[in-house]
Amino acid sequence: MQKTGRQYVLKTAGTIFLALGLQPTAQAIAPEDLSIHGFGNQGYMQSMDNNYLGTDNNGSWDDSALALLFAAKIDDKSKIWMQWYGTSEKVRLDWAFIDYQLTDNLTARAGQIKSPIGLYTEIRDIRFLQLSVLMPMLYQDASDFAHEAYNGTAVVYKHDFGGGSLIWDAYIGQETNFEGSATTIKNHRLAGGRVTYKTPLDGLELMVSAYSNNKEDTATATQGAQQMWLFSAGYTSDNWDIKTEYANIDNARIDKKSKTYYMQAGYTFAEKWTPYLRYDYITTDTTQSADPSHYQQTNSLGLGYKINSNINMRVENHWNNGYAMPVLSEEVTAGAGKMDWNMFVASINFIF
Amino acid sequence: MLSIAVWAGDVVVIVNKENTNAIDKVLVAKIYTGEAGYWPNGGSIFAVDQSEANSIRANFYSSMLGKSPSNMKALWAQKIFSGQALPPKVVDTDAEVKKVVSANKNAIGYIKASSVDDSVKVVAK
Repeated sequence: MQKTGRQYVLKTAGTIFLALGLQPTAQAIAPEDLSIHGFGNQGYMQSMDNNYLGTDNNGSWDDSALALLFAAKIDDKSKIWMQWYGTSEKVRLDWAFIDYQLTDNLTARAGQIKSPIGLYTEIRDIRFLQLSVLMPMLYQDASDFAHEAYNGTAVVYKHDFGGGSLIWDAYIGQETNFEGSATTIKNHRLAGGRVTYKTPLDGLELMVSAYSNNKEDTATATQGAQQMWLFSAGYTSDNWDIKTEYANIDNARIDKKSKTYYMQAGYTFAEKWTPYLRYDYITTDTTQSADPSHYQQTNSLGLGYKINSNINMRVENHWNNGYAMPVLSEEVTAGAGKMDWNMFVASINFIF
Repeated sequence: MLSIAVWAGDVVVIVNKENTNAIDKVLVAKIYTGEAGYWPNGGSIFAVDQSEANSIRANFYSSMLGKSPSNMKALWAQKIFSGQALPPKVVDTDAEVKKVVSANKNAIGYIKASSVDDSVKVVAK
C-alpha cells in the first residue's frame, strides 16, 4: 500500500525522536542551540496562452509561500533539521533529518532529506536565493526530473583537492511523495549521488549528479527506473551569477528519453539592481523533438531589485516556443497548444 | 602557550589561550564560510560573529574573507536552507566576543585591535 504523506511525517518524526532518546547524555536542547529561520514569497503570474501553472491572461496572485526551518545542535557531532513549507493550498513537512559527524570529513544523515541534485534542488523553493522567479525547466514540477526529497540515508564526504575541495554525496531510499501529489505512482528504490568540485577560483564550482529512481504506476501496471545524468557549472561573485546545466533523462517505465539544458547570467550593479537573462530548452521525447507538444525553448529576461539584506523582488518575461511543459502538467492537450506564447511573472521574496 | 592572531587592518582574529593550532587567513576564511568545522589538532570549531549593525563585521568580511556582507548572507542562507551548516554565533560587542572566546578553548572570533587585552592571547605578525 502506498504510504501517505501523513505516514511519512510520523515515520520521520519517530526516527528523529528515537535517535534523540538513544543519546547517552540525552537532555533538553538549550535555547542557544536552537536556530529558527524562514523564507517566503508573494508572486504574480500571467500565462498569455496555454494556462501554464494554473494561470491565464488575467493573471493570478495565488503564488505565495512561507517556510519555517528549525535546526538544533544536540552535541558537537549531531544536529537535527526540520523544515515546514506552506502555500495557499497546502502545508507539508519539507524535510526532517538528523545528521551526525562521523569524522572531520564524513557526515551521515537519516530521515526525509532534500535531494542533492544539481545546483538548485536543495534551494528550489527559496526565491530569495535564486536569480529568477521561475526555475529552469529541469527543476519545475511538471518535468519531474529533479525529485525534491527522499526518505532514506546519505553520506557526505569532503576533502581538499587541487587547491579547492571535492564533496561527494551518496544517498539511497525512496522518493518522497508529498501529501496531495500524484496518486497512482508508487515509489520504489532510489539511489543517487553528486560530486561537487569547488575550484581554486573562488565562486566557481562544477558538479556531476546522477540517480536511478524506480517507480510503478499502479493505474497502467508499468514499472521501471528513471535515470538521469546532470552536468552543472556555476560561478558567483559579488556582481556575477552565471549558471549552466545539461541533463539526459532515460525513463524506462514509459520508454522515453528526454533532454534539457539552460544557460543563465545576471549582473548586479549599484549593489541593488540585477538584470538577468536565460535560455532554456527541453525535449520530453527525443524521438519527437520537432513536435511542439514535446519541446519547449524559452528566452527569459528579468530584473531584480534588492530592497534590503532580507527582501528582494524580481520581474521577468518568458518568450516560449513550443509547449511541452503545459502538456506535461496537463493544462494543454498534445497538439492543441499555442506554439508561441508568453509568460509574465513577478515576485517579492524574503528570508530571515 | 601562545595563541596566534591574524591581522587584517584594524581587525584582529583571536582565539583562546589554550588553542595551539596554526591559523592562517585561509583557515579563517574556511571557518567563517562554513567550510571548516574542526581544528587540525582536534575539537569542533566554535566561531563567533558580530552583529550586522557593527561596522567591524563588514570590515572583517572584506579584509579577511574578500566578500561583501550580502554575499556572505547569501552564502550562509544557502548552507542553512540546504541543511549543510549553521552560521557562527552572533554577539553584539567586542567584549562579548572576548568573553565567549576566553571561556571556550575551541572558540574563534574577531575584534578591533584596540580591544585586545590579556583575556585572549595574540601574536603580532
